[in-house]
Amino acid sequence: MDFNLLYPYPPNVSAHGHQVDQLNNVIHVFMLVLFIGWAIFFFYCLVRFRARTGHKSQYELPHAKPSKYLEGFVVVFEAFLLLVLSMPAWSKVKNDFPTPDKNPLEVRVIAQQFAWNFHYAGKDGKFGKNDPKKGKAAAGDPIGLDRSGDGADDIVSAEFHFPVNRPVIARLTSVDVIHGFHMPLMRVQHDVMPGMEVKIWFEANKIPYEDVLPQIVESMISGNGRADTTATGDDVQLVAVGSSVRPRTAIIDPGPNGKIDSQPASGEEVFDPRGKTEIICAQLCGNSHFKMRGAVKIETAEEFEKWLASAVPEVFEEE
Amino acid sequence: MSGHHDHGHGHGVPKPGGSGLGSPDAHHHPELGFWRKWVFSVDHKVIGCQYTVTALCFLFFGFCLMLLMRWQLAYPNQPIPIIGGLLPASMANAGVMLSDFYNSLGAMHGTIMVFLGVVPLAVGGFGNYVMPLQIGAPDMAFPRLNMASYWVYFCGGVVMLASFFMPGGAASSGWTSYAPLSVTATMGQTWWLVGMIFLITSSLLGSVNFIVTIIQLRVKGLTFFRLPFFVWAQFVTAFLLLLAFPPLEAAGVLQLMDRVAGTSFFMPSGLVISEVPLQNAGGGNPLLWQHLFWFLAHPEVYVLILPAFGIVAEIIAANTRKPLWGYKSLVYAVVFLGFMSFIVWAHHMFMTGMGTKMSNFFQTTTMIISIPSVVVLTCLILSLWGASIRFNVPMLFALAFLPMFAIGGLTGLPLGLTTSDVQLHDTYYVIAHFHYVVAPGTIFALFAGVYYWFPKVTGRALNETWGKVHFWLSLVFINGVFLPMFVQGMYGGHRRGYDPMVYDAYQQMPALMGMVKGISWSAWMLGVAQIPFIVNFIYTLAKGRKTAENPWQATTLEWAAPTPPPHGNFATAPTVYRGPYEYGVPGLANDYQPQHLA
Repeated sequence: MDFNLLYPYPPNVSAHGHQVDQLNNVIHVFMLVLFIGWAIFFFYCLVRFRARTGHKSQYELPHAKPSKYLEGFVVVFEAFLLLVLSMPAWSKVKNDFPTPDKNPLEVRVIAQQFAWNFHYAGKDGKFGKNDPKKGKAAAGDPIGLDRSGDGADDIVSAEFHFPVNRPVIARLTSVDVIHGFHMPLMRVQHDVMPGMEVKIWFEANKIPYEDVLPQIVESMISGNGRADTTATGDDVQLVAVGSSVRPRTAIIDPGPNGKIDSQPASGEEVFDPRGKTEIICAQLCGNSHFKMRGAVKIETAEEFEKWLASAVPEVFEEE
Repeated sequence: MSGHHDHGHGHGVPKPGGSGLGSPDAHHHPELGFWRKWVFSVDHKVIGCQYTVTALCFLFFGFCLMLLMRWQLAYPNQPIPIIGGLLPASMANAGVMLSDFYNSLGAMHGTIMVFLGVVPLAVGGFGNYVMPLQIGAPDMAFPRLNMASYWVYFCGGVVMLASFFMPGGAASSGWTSYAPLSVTATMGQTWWLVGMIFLITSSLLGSVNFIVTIIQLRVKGLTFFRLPFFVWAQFVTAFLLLLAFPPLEAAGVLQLMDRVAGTSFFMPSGLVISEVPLQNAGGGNPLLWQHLFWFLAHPEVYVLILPAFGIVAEIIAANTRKPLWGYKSLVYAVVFLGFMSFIVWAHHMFMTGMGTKMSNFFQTTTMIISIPSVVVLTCLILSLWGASIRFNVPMLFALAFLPMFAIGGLTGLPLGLTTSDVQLHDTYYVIAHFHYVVAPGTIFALFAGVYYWFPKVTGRALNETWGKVHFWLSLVFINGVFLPMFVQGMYGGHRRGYDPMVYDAYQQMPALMGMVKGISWSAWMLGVAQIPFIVNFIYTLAKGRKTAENPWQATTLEWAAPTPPPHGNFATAPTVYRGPYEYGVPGLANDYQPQHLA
């Protein structure tokens, strides 16, 4: 992540994120123009109309038509922001859920103090029932998943894996208090409410990578910022997010509470800087709220399928 | 004081409700003992001073809580110098602030600044002291109710302070106290709710009193469109308090029941906290709390800002030596603001999953409410045109209010539109936005008011030089605090994070962490910058320069009363002959024409 006052946002890796950034850019330019205009007039008045000997105030009010124009301009521009930029983009994000032909990936996101759990339906495409009252993180089952029936092949992960260029439908719920699901790089934020399940959707169109190990990154990138995944022939765009000073083992170790983590132990040797980003808990949820970060891995379709396949047996081994 | 004739009707003003104000005649107040004069006083001016001093103390206390938090943010997990060692084990471990204590500080900073600091100062302090004088009244309509509202507020403050000593510390669920977190929190939350019920009750008592006083006790000739703008601002504010606070009072009682009586108004069924099923009735809804809370808390924003508009307008008029530009526009704008402020609340809840119908309605109303704010700001800035501006300390604070409020107001736009809010919601951008409105905005206006009316209240003027030192240092450092927060928030820096260094943005961008340190140092320097004010305030009370009755040569009625005004205010009730801002009238010897001179 570079410090850049002209584009002070984290890199965007989502398909809809440019609309968010565009609106923010337009509003901020509008604000700056208005503010600078006001400020020039303000300081001009302070100097020109300062009290001094021989200077008197004018009782008669000047007819200030310009203020009407200014107010008119503000009204028109705000209507533009609202009707052209904000409402359509928001309606799309909120209402236009991907149809089945887009093959969306459906994931249940179950938040608890202070961890994120990701529940995948497995091969049968059906979610097993879960009962939070039976959840035991120490036993490798934080959500209390019923392994009989549909839940037999389900996957519960502490790390959020999802593929690039494929819509994801996330069904958010919480077992205890309100949490906030914010992936800054994805321009996705939504409250996670206990007692209800809310569906949101998003799609990544790029894979972020930490440019911490140049030699690895270089080997991944062929040409101009594109990962060559020869197996599928897919061409996926990569976005650098800067290098973290966080000790790397902290990222690839299994998460707290013994949750399932897809990273093999050997991951420490072949550290893969690709795809890593975070979920921030955006709503105060207790004393360790600040620690409630979720690891996110955005992958190519092939990597994702590989992970999905490798994640299943691990669950059964722990059973 | 040629206006002091023809005053029979002044004493004939209605006194609804047999309020217990003894004789309205200023001359015949018997000499009161110490307790009745200074502690359990029914005089609006004494009560105004009580509010002012109490609220200033709370403002300083709430500010200090934040100074402690800034240490943890700038130097995470390092012992707090000096103070760290003094904190008990429930607050700090080996001098390092605990996250629970950090959350308490955050919740209590917000609560104290809003409900015990700014509102009591703006309404209870300035409103109480200045408004009856400006309408020429001998006192508030219900003086005993006025006394009650101060003491209920005082009790609320004591309860809030006492909550720090509860097992588990003070409330730690944010000043918004979202259920279920707040319902399952430690004992401090119960005290917070009890404290809030006191504070809300106090505001309700005050608001009724303000409305009746402004409607009933205006002196002869003081029509609504001759009211000083400050009185209009207080009038609209009182309606906001009266209409918006009851839902929160109800919500507070309901949450209290959820905590102590086993009800589940805000608690859904089937919650599991730390793998232990919660034993409660269930069936409630946490969103209900948010709706009730924000139904108050958005109008509350205007409760914070309208009195500031009022103060700034008075000071700008007096120090530009010309009438305010667009007085009627200002009045219509604040009435419209007050009305609109009741139908924008859910823009605080865009991320809760409301459908597009609802979010479109609320983002539209939010854009609409920005228009009267632009009108107010435009009127105040245009008032400078053709002026003869005196740069005294109150005017400096009032002038600085304008660009500071402009920043605060403008940055509300991206938060009020759903699509841009998605990235900024609950980040430091929000913190910066509302602090620009309330801190360099409202609090600067309150400082302006303190410097402006101090001579009327005490007969002594605050030192100008030290006032300027206070102003310039405060202006520089307060911007050092809040300006970088916009950038921090745009990069995704979330509020209420105990340790910024756990997040990617701070890990990957050292400049951002540098900014956090800079903000903390600015905040501490801002604290240092208040020393000249505190010393000036106390020194002037005892030994300050004595001033004339109308040192600013202002036109409104409070300057027609003796200095300091006695119990009952005016020797004889004044009559009003003209509008409030007749400055710079051509053809007069003086460049101002007081409202009460024939």
